Amino acid sequence: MEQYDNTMLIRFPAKSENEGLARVAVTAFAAPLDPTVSELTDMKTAVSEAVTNAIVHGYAKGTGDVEVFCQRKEETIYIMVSDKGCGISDITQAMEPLYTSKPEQERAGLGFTIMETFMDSLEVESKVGEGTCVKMAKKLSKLR
Amino acid sequence: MGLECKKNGTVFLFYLSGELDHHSCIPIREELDKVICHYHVKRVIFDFSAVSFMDSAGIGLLLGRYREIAKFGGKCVILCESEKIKKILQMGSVQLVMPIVETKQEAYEKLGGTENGTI
Ligand SMILES: Nc1ncnc2c1ncn2[C@@H]1O[C@H](COP(=O)(O)OP(=O)(O)O)[C@@H](O)[C@H]1O
Ligand SMILES: [Mg+2]
Repeated sequence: MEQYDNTMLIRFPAKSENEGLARVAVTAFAAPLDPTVSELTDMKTAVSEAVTNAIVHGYAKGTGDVEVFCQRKEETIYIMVSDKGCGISDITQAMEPLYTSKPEQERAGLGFTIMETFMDSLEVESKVGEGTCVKMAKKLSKLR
Repeated sequence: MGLECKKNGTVFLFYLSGELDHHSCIPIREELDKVICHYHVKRVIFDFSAVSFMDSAGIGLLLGRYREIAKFGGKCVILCESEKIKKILQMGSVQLVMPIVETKQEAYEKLGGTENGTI
């Protein structure tokens, strides 16, 4: 069993107003590590994308809760965003830059690309009808 | 998140402020479309100077409004200094249809005028 320095679990209904709440919570969780403004923005952007996806895609039909689970071990922040929504049938296609299943909603198809670019790692687990879990990590620079 | 619309000659300035995400884009899109449609807006500066955060929802918002404005043969410019926001806009290839500039003067020049003597 791995020991983390700190953990945080927040759960909220899939309402778009909670996108901002998730960003604020992750920002506060990372604060003790004194991240740079750039590192904070990267994490906020990635979380915003993952939470928005859970709300607009995962729970496109119906409602449910979104969970954001954060862990910290030394300088690394691990963030998990999960929903119990519709799931993704083709993860490879979903992660392709510019792919979106909802072009009519003005989605850019860049959520996963942004998570990949702004974090150090990204893993997506999903099952149709069961839900999706997005795992990301970012190691913060020690020199501040 | 806020939106303020101003007119200078034939140029429309859309000042966005605060955090631009999927949630805040919904009312902003509605308001912008009203103004664009009502005034047949042809020259636009999207001013991002006061935007503190933007994710990929901002790309959809801009490209969607661009499509509306281009219907009347209009032009748009984005005024943005933030490197992070520029990086996200460029991931969406926004700069291919609307130049991204750092000063108001450049913005007016791209639209074919100047701030004090617009077209
Ligand atoms: N949590 C999720 N539940 C169901 N489908 C998802 C989820 N996250 C992403 N997807 C699928 O992956 C696609 C790509 O996601 P993304 O890169 O964020 O682009 P966008 O959100 O702009 O469509 C989405 O269009 C959607 O079909
Ligand atoms: Mg998305």
